[in-house]
Amino acid sequence: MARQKKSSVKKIIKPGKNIITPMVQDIKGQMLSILDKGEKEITIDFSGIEDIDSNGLGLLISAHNSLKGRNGKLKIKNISGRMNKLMQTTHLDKYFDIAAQG
Amino acid sequence: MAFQEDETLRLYVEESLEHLSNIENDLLAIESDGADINEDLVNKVFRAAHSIKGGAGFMGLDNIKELSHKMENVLGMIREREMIPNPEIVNILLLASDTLRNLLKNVGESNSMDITEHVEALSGLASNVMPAKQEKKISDIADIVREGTAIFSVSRDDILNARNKGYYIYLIELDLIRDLHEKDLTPMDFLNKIQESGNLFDCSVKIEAVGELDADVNPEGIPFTMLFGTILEPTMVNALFNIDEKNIFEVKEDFSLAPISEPTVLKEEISQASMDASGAEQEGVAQASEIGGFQDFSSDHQAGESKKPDGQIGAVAGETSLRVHVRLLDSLMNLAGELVLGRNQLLQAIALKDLHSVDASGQRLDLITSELQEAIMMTRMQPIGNILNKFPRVVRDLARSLGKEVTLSIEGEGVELDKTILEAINDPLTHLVRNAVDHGIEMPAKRSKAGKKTTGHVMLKAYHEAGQVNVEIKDDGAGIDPKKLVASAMARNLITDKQALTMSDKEKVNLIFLPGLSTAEKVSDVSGRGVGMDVVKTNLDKLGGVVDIDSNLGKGTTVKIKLPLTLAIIPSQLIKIEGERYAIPQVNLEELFRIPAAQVKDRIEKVGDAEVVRLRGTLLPLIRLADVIGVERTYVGDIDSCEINKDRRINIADRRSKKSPLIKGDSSEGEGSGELETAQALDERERRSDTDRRYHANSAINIVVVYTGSLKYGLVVDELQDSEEIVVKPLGRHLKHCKGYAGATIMGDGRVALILDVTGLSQMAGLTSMEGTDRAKEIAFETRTTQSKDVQSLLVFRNAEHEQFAVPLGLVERIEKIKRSQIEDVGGKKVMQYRGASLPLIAIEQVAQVKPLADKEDLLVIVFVLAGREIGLLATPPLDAIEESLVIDDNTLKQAGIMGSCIIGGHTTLLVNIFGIVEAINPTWFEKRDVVCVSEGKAATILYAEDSNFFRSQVKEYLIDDGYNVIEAEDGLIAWDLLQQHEKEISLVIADIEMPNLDGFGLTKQIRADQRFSHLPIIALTTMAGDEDIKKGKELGINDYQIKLDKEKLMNSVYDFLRRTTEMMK
Repeated sequence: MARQKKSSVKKIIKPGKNIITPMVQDIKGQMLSILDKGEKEITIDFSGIEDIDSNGLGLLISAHNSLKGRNGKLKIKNISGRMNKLMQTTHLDKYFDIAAQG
Repeated sequence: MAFQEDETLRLYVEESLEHLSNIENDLLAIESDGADINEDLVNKVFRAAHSIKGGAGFMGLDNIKELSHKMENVLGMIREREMIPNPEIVNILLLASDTLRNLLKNVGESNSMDITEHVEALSGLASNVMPAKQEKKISDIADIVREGTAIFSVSRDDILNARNKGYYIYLIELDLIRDLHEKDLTPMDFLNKIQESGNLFDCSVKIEAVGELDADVNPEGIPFTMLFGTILEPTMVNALFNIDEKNIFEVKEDFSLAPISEPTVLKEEISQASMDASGAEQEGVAQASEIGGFQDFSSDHQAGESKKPDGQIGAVAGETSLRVHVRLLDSLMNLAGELVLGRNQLLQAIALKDLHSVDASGQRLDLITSELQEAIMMTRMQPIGNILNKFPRVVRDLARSLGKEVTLSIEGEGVELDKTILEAINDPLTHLVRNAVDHGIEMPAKRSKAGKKTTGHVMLKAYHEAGQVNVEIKDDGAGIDPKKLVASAMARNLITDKQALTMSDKEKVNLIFLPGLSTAEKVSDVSGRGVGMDVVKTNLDKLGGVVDIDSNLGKGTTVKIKLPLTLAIIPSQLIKIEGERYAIPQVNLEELFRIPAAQVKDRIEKVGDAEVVRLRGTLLPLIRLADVIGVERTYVGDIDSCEINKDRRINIADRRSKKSPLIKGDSSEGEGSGELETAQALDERERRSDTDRRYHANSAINIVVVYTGSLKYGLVVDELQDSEEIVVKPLGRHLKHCKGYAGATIMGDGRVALILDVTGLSQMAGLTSMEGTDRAKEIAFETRTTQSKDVQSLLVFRNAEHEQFAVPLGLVERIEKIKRSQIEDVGGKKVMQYRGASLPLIAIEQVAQVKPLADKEDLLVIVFVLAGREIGLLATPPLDAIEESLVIDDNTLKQAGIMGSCIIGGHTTLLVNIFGIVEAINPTWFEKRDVVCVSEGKAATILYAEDSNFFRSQVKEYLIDDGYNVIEAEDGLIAWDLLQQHEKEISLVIADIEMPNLDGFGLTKQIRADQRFSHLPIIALTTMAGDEDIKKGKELGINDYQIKLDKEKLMNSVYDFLRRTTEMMK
């Protein structure tokens, strides 16, 4: 389902629906292929995402760790209020570059 | 002037705290009223806030003033109906009142404490804007250090506030993948869930541990640490997380961490230490002059540790001043005046050596002292409402955090108890109420599934009864499953399979008080409620209280606590042993009894290595006080010389050795070994000499029957003395560890007497289980209350010394005591002269393979009337009539003359088939009846309904022996079905009355109401045959009543009825 949008500089992944275990492998593949191209930034479009499970969170954190190793950043955009609150509560917003919806 | 200011301030703080303690419940009431406000109530809270504010302004307590002012504003708006008091608003008010209480308690520092959060929340309410989340002014930060690194920094205020709400603070380490993912919880769900149950102060994800992206491997774990506050106790908190308890730490008041999985013993010790401490304090108060002793206690290291994790919850605990009605003070003053007058009179009388006046003033002083004592006690009496009233909040908060709907009702707040007892029951009660909400009441969904109202109900009730105060905690929740408890207790080897089999349900439920059962397993495994009930019990035991639990699976649980009114002065029974006096508190006293010297041997038995006494059909374990407390037993040998000898008898029923000066006549003949000899051995050898000590009145045995809540036992003492009111004095520090003593007192003659702790004594003697008498009592109680079981009346006797037998009491005509010499041997048969005729005698061993009749001089003859003739069965004592519901095994020990066996009073007992025996010996006695046939060669068919397997097979055998066909049914309902199936065949119905599902009366009604069967004769065969019942049965249409197991009468009745009906048919 997830489509990869080509853009000149940044790579954006838009999973389109909740990041849960069955989606993880697919998104990870996309992330790895972006990394393989030597990119230092991955943006995940959180539109339509209302929940994330532990494996999903693990995926985001490991992506962050990989990017950090090469001075890059994991960006999240269009995050919903609910998801943003989760990021704030867990203090993950300190690690990810998060932009709210709209 | 400083003193005066202090005094004013103290008064202000006290008064304000009192206002606040009422505010809490009033706010909760306001919350439940919702929009439909009770103006009086709101006004009351408003006024309370207002007067706190007023005083604070005067004292220059700015923070208190500001906070109470803001509260007042919000309350004002509620009063004006500008605001509807929804749970949110009430919550903010409650939190504010908590903080206010904090400020008042630390009034010196109140001005420097941070109250912005509450002030803003309240102002936010007042301006109809919910307070915006705001960065905290970090005035005082504490670090929580785990393994050397500070993981969280939190505001001390936040934590303090939470603690004051009764929260425990935990540091929890879990793994988002292992602990959450596997339970199908997303992090979001998890955070929402726990925030409903408490307060998440902070949390962090350890992202370094996750690793980088890897095509093949997903992260194995995401370590997650959080700082969490909740009302759940350390033993319960894991119910929320369900993770390895190693990873949950309690954050202590000094912000250090303590794993909650630490052995629970520690916790118990702490709470016991605090009990000790409060006990010491109470005793110190009771005896104010003993200041030195009191200080001793507080310097005791145990008392020092008495700070309890939930110490703050009880607002009552630690109060140092007391409100007393002026009238009471006046009367105290009056009495003090009288006392002075009395003293003056006495002094004068002594000076004048006027004995008459000394007498008079002595009496006067006696009177005044009693009155004074009473009045002083009154000042210590406080309404139990003081502690009950905090429970609405506890229940509300706990129910909310668990997602349950629970209402609480309180009855009897006005019941008064001694202040120290009140303080001491605070924790046990809190525990029980929490248990009721947490484990008793089910989740709403589960409740509605079970057909109950979704809202659970917990009731707290206090009332006076027999000079004691009862407190009941009752819930309508799931109840306790006795089976699970038993399984759990068995798994821990706390009880054996055999014990479990013979336990009543109530007794099984009471297993919950066994230490070890409750704490070790997780809550859910024993259907809850197991948490620390033994601690509750220990604490109540120390107060001289008694706790009892009653549970109805699926319907609810009732815990009943009995408490003495006061601890300082208690009525007690004085006893004497080896010349020393001891006191036994009257609360523990059940009865006193004395076994005359001549009966000692018959009534005291030895089971294993324990001595027991028969008391009204139950066996009571005996403890010899002298042995337990380690006093050497002596006896006065020669009364004239007052020589004192060491008592060397082992068993109570033992006789003195021949060397004893008391056995003068035999002393020359003696073997000189001076060994101890048992009564039985000596008995057979010789007739007792007149000097046998057993015939002396002073060898009677005095027994004090004491009750500890779970256990009843007899204490063998030398002498019973008066009962007296004694003043409890604490034991010195050095004696603190003596388990057997609860304290000491000073008697009228100035001597010291120790107060016995009956629970401690039973533990020292190794009597801790709940078997024996207790079980028998409970079984008896149960049969009486339920009436659903088949109660059998049996006569229990012996034949050989150690074989116990029983016959149905209903068959016994009379019992005669005879001497062996009265038996005559005539023509190979034994007979005796009896009422001018000769009575044939039989013995069980003539037919059954049992040990022969004991070779005793005194024998019993049990007279039966069979087939119209009298016959006597030889037996030996002890003889006992019991009424119990028994499980009869009609298989293992069955033989000729014995129809089965059962356990009575801990002995295997053989049930004698008296018909079998008589038939075997005198086959000609019973006339042969013809079989009644319905048609040529076809015997009649009888439907027999009986729920007891034993009786069913027994009676069936009788019927088949006589040639009938029998259709058996286990209860009335089955009988009714069978009757319809075999409509044409059945010509007679025999039915028991007491049966499950459909009883004999019900069955009769149905049969009589049905045209097809209305003609059938019905014989009731029952143990229950009161005149009332017989009348009722006859009215319903029962043709004949037969008492269980008089074979002859039953068979004759069957024969008569069958013949009559068949003749009628023809």
